[in-house]
Amino acid sequence: MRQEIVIRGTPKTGLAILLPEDLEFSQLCQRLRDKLAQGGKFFQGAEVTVQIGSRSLTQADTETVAAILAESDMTLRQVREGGDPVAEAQVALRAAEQSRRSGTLPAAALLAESETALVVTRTLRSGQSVRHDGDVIVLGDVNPGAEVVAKGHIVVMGALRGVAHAGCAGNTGALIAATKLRPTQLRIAQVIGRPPDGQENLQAVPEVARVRDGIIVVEAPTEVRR
Amino acid sequence: MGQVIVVTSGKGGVGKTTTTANLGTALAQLGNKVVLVDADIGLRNLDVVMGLENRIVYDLVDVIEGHARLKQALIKDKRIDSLYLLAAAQTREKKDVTPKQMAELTEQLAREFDFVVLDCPAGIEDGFKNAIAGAQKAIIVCNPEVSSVRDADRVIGLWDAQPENKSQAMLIVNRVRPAMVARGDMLEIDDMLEMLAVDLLGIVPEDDHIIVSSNRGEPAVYRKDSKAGQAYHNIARRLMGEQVPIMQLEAETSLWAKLKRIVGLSRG
Repeated sequence: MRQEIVIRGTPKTGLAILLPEDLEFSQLCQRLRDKLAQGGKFFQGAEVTVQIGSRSLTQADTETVAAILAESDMTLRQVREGGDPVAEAQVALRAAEQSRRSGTLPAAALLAESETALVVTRTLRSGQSVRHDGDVIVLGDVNPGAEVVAKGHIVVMGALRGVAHAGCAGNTGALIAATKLRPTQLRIAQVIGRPPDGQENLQAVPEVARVRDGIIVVEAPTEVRR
Repeated sequence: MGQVIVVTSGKGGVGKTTTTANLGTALAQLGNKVVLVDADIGLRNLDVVMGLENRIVYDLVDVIEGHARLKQALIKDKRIDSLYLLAAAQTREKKDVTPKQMAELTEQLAREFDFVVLDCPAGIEDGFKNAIAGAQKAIIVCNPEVSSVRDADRVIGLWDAQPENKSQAMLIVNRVRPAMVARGDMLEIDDMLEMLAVDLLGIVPEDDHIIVSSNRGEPAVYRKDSKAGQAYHNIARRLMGEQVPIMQLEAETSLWAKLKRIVGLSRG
C-alpha cells in the first residue's frame, strides 16, 4: 500500500501524481501542498493526471485537488482510478515483447532483453554441465553426455553432440544454433526433440533449431532470418 | 623421483590391466626400475595377468594399514629383475583406502622406482579417485567403440578437473581391427581424437595372443609374433621420450594377400 504521494513523469500520459489510498483526505491535501511546495517552480505549467487508486473522490474533493494544483501553477487534466501508470506501462511493454517473440521478428532483435551472455571458451566433456540465466555461447564442442541449459539462446561454435536446453524458463522463442548440429536431444522451453533414428546424410553445415507449431524444427540459418 | 602414471578408462574391459602389465614389462625390458600397482581392491587381476598370483603374501591394504612394510609386500617378477608388483587386496573394499593414503604410498614408491604404473579400476567412484590421487600422468585406454569413447570423455574431464596441476591425459586406442575400420564398421582413430581432444600415445591392434598370454600369466610383449606386444613396446619407448612412428595397421584386403592366406603362405 502506498504511503507517500508520488510524482512521476510517464512517457505517454505526462505528469502523474499517485495518491496513497488510505490517507484521510484533509491530511492528503496537506501532504500534497507540501510536496508541491518542495518542487518549487519545477512543475510549473505541467498538466497532471492524478491516480487515485481504489480511493473515491467526490466532485468537491476533485475541485479541491485541482485548486491545490493550481496554486503551483499546474493543471489537472484528469483523475484516474486504478494503480501505478508507470508499472502499467511497463507491463504493456513486456506484453508487446512477448507477442513479438512468438511472431515474425528476426532472432537478432530478440536479444535485447536478455542478461549478459555467458561465453564458454572450452569444450564441454561428458558429464559437465553449464547453466545460465541468459544466452550461452560455446566456443568449442559439447560432447555427448554434456549439457547446456540456458534461459536464452544457445549458440555452439563447434559440434553440439550433447543436450541443449534453451529458453528453459519457458521462452519458446529461444534458438539453438550450432556449426555442427548432432545433438543427443534438443529442448526449447517445454518442447523436446530428438534427431531421427538411423544414419542420415549428415553434412557439416551450420543449423538452427527452433519451435514451430509446437515442435522443434531444424533449419538453415538463412530461413531464420526471414 | 620416478613418474607416477595411472592407467584408466571409465569403461570396464577395455584393456587397462593388459596395458598396465604389458607396458610395465616393456619399460622394465628397456632398463627401467618399474613397479606395477593394482588399485582394483576387491577385484584384483593384475597379479593373474602377470602370473604372480601364487606369490602374494602381503598386499596394498596391508601396507597402508601398517601390517607389513612396503618391501615385504613388493613381489619381484618371475622373469625381469627390475620389475615389481604391489597386489591389491581381494577380501577388502575400495573404501578401505583413502586418496591421501594412496598418494603417500605412490610418492614413497616413486622414490625407489623410475616408473610407478597404477592399474585403475573401472568406474569413476572411490576406486578411481584413489588411483588418480598420486598420479602425475594419466593414460586413458579406449576401444574404438562409442560407449568406450563416451566414458573416456567423462574420465578425461574428471582428470582435468583436479585442482592440482597435472599433465594432460594421453590416449591408447586398444583392440583396433583394421579390417573393420576400413569397412566403416569401426570408429576411426581420427574421429575419436577429434572428440576426445587429447594426444595419442599409441594404437594397439586386436590380437588373439592377448587371451593366450593372460591365461598363461605371461604378458604379450614377450612374444615376438604378437602385434599387440610390438605396439606396447613402441608405447613404452614413446613414454621414455623416443619418437616412434605409429604402427601401420593396414588391413590385408588385396586378392593376392587373401590367396596367400588360403594357401598358407601368410599368417592371417
